[in-house]
Amino acid sequence: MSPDKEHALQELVDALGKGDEGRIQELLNQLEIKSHSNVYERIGTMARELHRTLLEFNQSMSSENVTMHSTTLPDAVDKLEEVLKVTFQAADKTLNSVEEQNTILSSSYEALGEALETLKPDNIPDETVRTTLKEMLEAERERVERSLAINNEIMMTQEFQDLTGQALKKVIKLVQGMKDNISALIEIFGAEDLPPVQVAQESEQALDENKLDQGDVDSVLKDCGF
Amino acid sequence: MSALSKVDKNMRILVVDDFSTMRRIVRNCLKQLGFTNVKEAVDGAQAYDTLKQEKFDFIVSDWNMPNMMGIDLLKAVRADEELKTIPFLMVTAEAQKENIIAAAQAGVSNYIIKPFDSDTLTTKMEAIFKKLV
Repeated sequence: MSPDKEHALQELVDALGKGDEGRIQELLNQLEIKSHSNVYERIGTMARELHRTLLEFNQSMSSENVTMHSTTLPDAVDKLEEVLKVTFQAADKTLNSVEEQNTILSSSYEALGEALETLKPDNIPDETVRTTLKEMLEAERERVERSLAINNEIMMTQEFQDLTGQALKKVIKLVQGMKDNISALIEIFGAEDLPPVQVAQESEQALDENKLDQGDVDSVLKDCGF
Repeated sequence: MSALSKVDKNMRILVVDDFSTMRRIVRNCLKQLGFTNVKEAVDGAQAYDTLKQEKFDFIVSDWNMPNMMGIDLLKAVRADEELKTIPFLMVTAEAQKENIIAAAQAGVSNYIIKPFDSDTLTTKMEAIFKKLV
């Protein structure tokens, strides 16, 4: 396809999304598309759907993340890729902090253990002092242990980046595919059937509904002889 | 005594995932269990190359990755005379019954669904080593 035609097709998609009838007609004439009202109507629906989805996406971005809201990106794919990048950076930074803190806490835990080992009558003859010190050090060691456990929870929570990242990658592919489908449809205008974009979405939904949890997985594994 | 406490903590483990966040999480979980000799690969293809070049005692792999999926890595490992006995733990968000059956048929050692916690990883590793020790 020539760059001019591709540009005109992109403009047509934008005009369809905006419902700009005058511009749509101009572009249809320019592209020599004259009498395919049924396909035209269906493409219009798809384009409006895409446009509305992008608008909703923008609104949800602005309400949830101020940084992203202030970032102007040229299209939805870029925005989704930006979300992917930002969530990765956030998770990465959190993991860096957790790992650094774990190193400090582990050192403290070892030092407390060594200190407890020195609490012997030869070093501290007074039993009352020895007992008090022992209780203090043990209490401190418990607090360090608890902090390590909390850090572990924070670390495991970062799994969200992997899970949302995978979902975002699928959506990016879907949005990109939808754009490509619309361009391809207009190019071959006259084809009776539209590509099964909706069917693909429904299939994804159906797959999600069939997802198993770890308990179900263990049952299936048991059936497989595990 | 648990099977995990009997295994060599210096064993070489390969963690395969295209998301670095997940590789770090798995690595940290393994560290908590005492396993620190861990190497990472970003997809099945890189993992297979690494496995052919270096000796590993355990594989933890994601399913959905570019270049080579986890299931294909598993099949390649099980088809390779030098690698076929390495325990292979799948850690993935792919949670369809078909996935689990396919992995079981391909010879997976155990299967964890994301999101998971460190207790689940411990339990699954314990189950794998119980069979081996």
